[in-house]
Amino acid sequence: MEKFSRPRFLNLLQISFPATAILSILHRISGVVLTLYLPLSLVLFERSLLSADSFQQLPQLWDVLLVRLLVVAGLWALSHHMISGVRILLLDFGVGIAGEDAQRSAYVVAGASISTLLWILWGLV
Amino acid sequence: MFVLTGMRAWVVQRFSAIVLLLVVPWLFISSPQINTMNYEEWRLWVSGGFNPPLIMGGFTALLFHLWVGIRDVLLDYVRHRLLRLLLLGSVAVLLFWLGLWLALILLRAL
Repeated sequence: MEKFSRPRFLNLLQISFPATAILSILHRISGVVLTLYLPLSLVLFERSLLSADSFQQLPQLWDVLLVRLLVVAGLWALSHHMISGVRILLLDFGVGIAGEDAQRSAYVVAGASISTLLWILWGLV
Repeated sequence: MFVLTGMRAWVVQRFSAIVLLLVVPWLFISSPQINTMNYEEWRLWVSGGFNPPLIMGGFTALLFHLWVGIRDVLLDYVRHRLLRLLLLGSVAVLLFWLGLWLALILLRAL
Protein backbone atom coordinates (compact mmCIF):
# COMPACT_ATOMS: atom_id res chain seq x y z
CA MET A 1 0.00 0.00 0.00
CA GLU A 2 3.03 2.28 0.37
CA LYS A 3 3.00 3.26 -3.31
CA PHE A 4 0.04 5.55 -2.57
CA SER A 5 1.64 8.21 -0.44
CA ARG A 6 -1.62 9.39 1.04
CA PRO A 7 -1.74 10.67 4.59
CA ARG A 8 -2.79 8.07 7.11
CA PHE A 9 -3.95 8.67 10.62
CA LEU A 10 -4.86 5.64 12.64
CA ASN A 11 -4.42 6.68 16.26
CA LEU A 12 -7.55 5.13 17.73
CA LEU A 13 -7.25 7.26 20.85
CA GLN A 14 -7.42 10.49 18.91
CA ILE A 15 -9.93 9.72 16.17
CA SER A 16 -13.35 10.98 17.15
CA PHE A 17 -15.97 8.30 16.55
CA PRO A 18 -19.60 9.16 15.73
CA ALA A 19 -22.29 7.31 17.70
CA THR A 20 -22.97 5.09 14.69
CA ALA A 21 -19.37 3.84 14.67
CA ILE A 22 -19.38 3.13 18.40
CA LEU A 23 -22.65 1.23 18.04
CA SER A 24 -21.19 -0.76 15.17
CA ILE A 25 -18.20 -1.93 17.18
CA LEU A 26 -20.42 -2.67 20.20
CA HIS A 27 -22.55 -4.88 17.97
CA ARG A 28 -19.44 -6.82 17.06
CA ILE A 29 -18.15 -7.01 20.64
CA SER A 30 -21.52 -8.16 22.02
CA GLY A 31 -21.68 -10.76 19.24
CA VAL A 32 -18.27 -12.18 20.14
CA VAL A 33 -19.18 -12.18 23.85
CA LEU A 34 -22.42 -14.06 23.11
CA THR A 35 -20.47 -16.60 21.07
CA LEU A 36 -18.26 -17.27 24.09
CA TYR A 37 -21.36 -17.76 26.25
CA LEU A 38 -22.82 -20.39 23.93
CA PRO A 39 -20.90 -23.52 25.05
CA LEU A 40 -21.48 -22.54 28.68
CA SER A 41 -25.21 -22.17 28.05
CA LEU A 42 -25.34 -25.61 26.47
CA VAL A 43 -23.65 -27.14 29.52
CA LEU A 44 -26.29 -25.52 31.76
CA PHE A 45 -29.12 -26.54 29.42
CA GLU A 46 -27.87 -30.14 29.40
CA ARG A 47 -27.54 -30.24 33.20
CA SER A 48 -31.04 -28.76 33.63
CA LEU A 49 -32.52 -31.69 31.69
CA LEU A 50 -30.29 -34.58 32.77
CA SER A 51 -32.17 -35.46 35.97
CA ALA A 52 -34.23 -33.90 38.75
CA ASP A 53 -31.07 -33.93 40.90
CA SER A 54 -28.88 -32.05 38.45
CA PHE A 55 -31.77 -29.63 37.86
CA GLN A 56 -32.05 -28.84 41.55
CA GLN A 57 -28.32 -28.17 41.87
CA LEU A 58 -28.44 -25.31 39.38
CA PRO A 59 -29.98 -22.62 41.65
CA GLN A 60 -26.95 -22.97 43.96
CA LEU A 61 -24.88 -21.34 41.21
CA TRP A 62 -26.91 -18.19 41.78
CA ASP A 63 -25.24 -17.73 45.19
CA VAL A 64 -21.93 -17.04 43.46
CA LEU A 65 -21.51 -13.33 42.79
CA LEU A 66 -19.43 -13.94 39.65
CA VAL A 67 -22.27 -16.05 38.21
CA ARG A 68 -24.74 -13.25 38.80
CA LEU A 69 -22.44 -10.75 37.09
CA LEU A 70 -21.97 -13.14 34.16
CA VAL A 71 -25.74 -13.61 33.81
CA VAL A 72 -26.36 -9.85 33.87
CA ALA A 73 -23.57 -9.26 31.35
CA GLY A 74 -24.86 -12.07 29.12
CA LEU A 75 -28.46 -10.88 29.14
CA TRP A 76 -27.32 -7.34 28.44
CA ALA A 77 -25.10 -8.48 25.56
CA LEU A 78 -28.06 -10.42 24.15
CA SER A 79 -30.56 -7.57 24.42
CA HIS A 80 -28.08 -5.01 23.10
CA HIS A 81 -27.14 -7.23 20.16
CA MET A 82 -30.82 -7.76 19.30
CA ILE A 83 -31.80 -4.11 19.60
CA SER A 84 -28.91 -2.83 17.54
CA GLY A 85 -29.51 -5.74 15.15
CA VAL A 86 -33.03 -4.48 14.51
CA ARG A 87 -31.53 -1.08 13.66
CA ILE A 88 -29.11 -2.67 11.20
CA LEU A 89 -31.93 -4.63 9.52
CA LEU A 90 -33.99 -1.44 9.20
CA LEU A 91 -30.99 0.35 7.69
CA ASP A 92 -30.68 -2.54 5.20
CA PHE A 93 -34.27 -1.97 4.11
CA GLY A 94 -33.52 1.71 3.69
CA VAL A 95 -35.40 2.81 6.80
CA GLY A 96 -33.75 5.66 8.68
CA ILE A 97 -30.64 5.78 6.54
CA ALA A 98 -31.16 9.28 5.11
CA GLY A 99 -29.37 12.31 6.51
CA GLU A 100 -29.19 12.57 10.27
CA ASP A 101 -31.64 9.69 10.86
CA ALA A 102 -28.94 7.01 11.22
CA GLN A 103 -27.22 9.16 13.83
CA ARG A 104 -30.46 9.72 15.70
CA SER A 105 -31.46 6.04 15.69
CA ALA A 106 -28.03 5.22 17.10
CA TYR A 107 -28.86 7.34 20.15
CA VAL A 108 -32.27 5.65 20.39
CA VAL A 109 -30.58 2.23 20.43
CA ALA A 110 -28.08 3.40 23.05
CA GLY A 111 -30.95 4.63 25.23
CA ALA A 112 -32.91 1.40 24.76
CA SER A 113 -29.86 -0.69 25.54
CA ILE A 114 -29.15 1.15 28.79
CA SER A 115 -32.85 0.89 29.71
CA THR A 116 -32.81 -2.89 29.23
CA LEU A 117 -29.70 -3.10 31.42
CA LEU A 118 -31.56 -1.28 34.20
CA TRP A 119 -34.55 -3.57 33.61
CA ILE A 120 -32.34 -6.68 33.87
CA LEU A 121 -30.74 -5.37 37.07
CA TRP A 122 -34.15 -4.50 38.50
CA GLY A 123 -35.48 -7.97 37.69
CA LEU A 124 -32.50 -9.95 38.97
CA VAL A 125 -30.96 -8.13 41.88
CA MET B 1 -15.04 -26.58 1.04
CA PHE B 2 -18.37 -25.03 1.93
CA VAL B 3 -17.75 -21.40 2.84
CA LEU B 4 -20.36 -18.68 2.69
CA THR B 5 -19.03 -15.61 0.95
CA GLY B 6 -20.16 -12.27 -0.45
CA MET B 7 -23.84 -11.68 -1.07
CA ARG B 8 -24.85 -15.15 0.06
CA ALA B 9 -23.20 -14.66 3.47
CA TRP B 10 -24.96 -11.31 3.79
CA VAL B 11 -28.36 -12.88 3.01
CA VAL B 12 -27.79 -15.78 5.41
CA GLN B 13 -26.77 -13.35 8.16
CA ARG B 14 -29.88 -11.21 7.70
CA PHE B 15 -32.28 -14.11 7.24
CA SER B 16 -30.99 -15.93 10.35
CA ALA B 17 -31.18 -12.63 12.26
CA ILE B 18 -34.90 -12.31 11.44
CA VAL B 19 -35.54 -15.94 12.44
CA LEU B 20 -33.71 -15.37 15.74
CA LEU B 21 -35.58 -12.11 16.41
CA LEU B 22 -38.81 -14.13 16.23
CA VAL B 23 -37.75 -17.35 17.95
CA VAL B 24 -35.63 -16.08 20.87
CA PRO B 25 -38.22 -13.66 22.38
CA TRP B 26 -40.94 -16.28 21.82
CA LEU B 27 -38.97 -18.94 23.74
CA PHE B 28 -38.27 -16.45 26.55
CA ILE B 29 -41.95 -15.51 26.81
CA SER B 30 -43.42 -19.00 26.49
CA SER B 31 -41.02 -20.77 28.87
CA PRO B 32 -42.18 -21.46 32.45
CA GLN B 33 -41.39 -18.90 35.18
CA ILE B 34 -37.80 -19.59 36.21
CA ASN B 35 -38.25 -19.03 39.95
CA THR B 36 -41.30 -21.29 40.38
CA MET B 37 -40.83 -24.12 37.88
CA ASN B 38 -39.85 -27.67 38.82
CA TYR B 39 -37.87 -30.24 36.85
CA GLU B 40 -40.86 -32.07 35.37
CA GLU B 41 -42.50 -28.84 34.21
CA TRP B 42 -39.23 -27.71 32.56
CA ARG B 43 -38.62 -31.02 30.83
CA LEU B 44 -42.19 -31.14 29.54
CA TRP B 45 -41.89 -27.62 28.16
CA VAL B 46 -38.62 -28.40 26.36
CA SER B 47 -39.92 -31.66 24.89
CA GLY B 48 -43.54 -30.71 24.35
CA GLY B 49 -45.44 -29.72 21.20
CA PHE B 50 -43.46 -27.84 18.59
CA ASN B 51 -40.74 -26.79 21.00
CA PRO B 52 -38.07 -29.39 20.09
CA PRO B 53 -38.11 -28.52 16.35
CA LEU B 54 -38.47 -24.83 17.25
CA ILE B 55 -35.44 -24.93 19.55
CA MET B 56 -33.41 -26.98 17.07
CA GLY B 57 -34.43 -24.74 14.16
CA GLY B 58 -33.61 -21.58 16.11
CA PHE B 59 -30.28 -23.04 17.14
CA THR B 60 -29.46 -23.94 13.54
CA ALA B 61 -30.22 -20.35 12.51
CA LEU B 62 -27.98 -19.24 15.38
CA LEU B 63 -25.11 -21.46 14.18
CA PHE B 64 -25.34 -20.03 10.65
CA HIS B 65 -25.52 -16.51 12.10
CA LEU B 66 -22.46 -17.25 14.22
CA TRP B 67 -20.55 -18.65 11.28
CA VAL B 68 -20.98 -15.49 9.20
CA GLY B 69 -20.25 -13.24 12.19
CA ILE B 70 -17.11 -15.04 13.37
CA ARG B 71 -15.95 -15.41 9.78
CA ASP B 72 -16.22 -11.63 9.33
CA VAL B 73 -14.28 -10.99 12.55
CA LEU B 74 -11.52 -13.45 11.63
CA LEU B 75 -11.23 -12.09 8.08
CA ASP B 76 -10.89 -8.57 9.50
CA TYR B 77 -8.29 -9.19 12.17
CA VAL B 78 -6.28 -12.32 11.34
CA ARG B 79 -3.84 -11.39 8.59
CA HIS B 80 -1.77 -14.57 8.59
CA ARG B 81 -3.28 -16.85 5.94
CA LEU B 82 -2.53 -20.24 7.42
CA LEU B 83 -3.58 -19.20 10.91
CA ARG B 84 -6.78 -17.71 9.50
CA LEU B 85 -7.59 -20.93 7.65
CA LEU B 86 -6.85 -22.97 10.75
CA LEU B 87 -9.11 -20.79 12.91
CA LEU B 88 -11.94 -20.82 10.35
CA GLY B 89 -11.71 -24.60 10.14
CA SER B 90 -11.76 -25.02 13.92
CA VAL B 91 -14.76 -22.70 14.25
CA ALA B 92 -16.65 -24.64 11.57
CA VAL B 93 -15.97 -27.94 13.34
CA LEU B 94 -16.88 -26.43 16.71
CA LEU B 95 -20.20 -25.03 15.46
CA PHE B 96 -21.11 -28.32 13.82
CA TRP B 97 -20.30 -30.10 17.07
CA LEU B 98 -22.46 -27.67 19.09
CA GLY B 99 -25.38 -28.46 16.77
CA LEU B 100 -24.96 -32.20 17.26
CA TRP B 101 -24.66 -31.69 21.01
CA LEU B 102 -27.95 -29.79 21.21
CA ALA B 103 -29.68 -32.42 19.07
CA LEU B 104 -28.52 -35.10 21.53
CA ILE B 105 -29.71 -33.07 24.54
CA LEU B 106 -33.14 -32.64 22.95
CA LEU B 107 -33.42 -36.30 21.93
CA ARG B 108 -32.60 -37.42 25.46
CA ALA B 109 -35.23 -35.07 26.91
CA LEU B 110 -38.01 -36.50 24.71
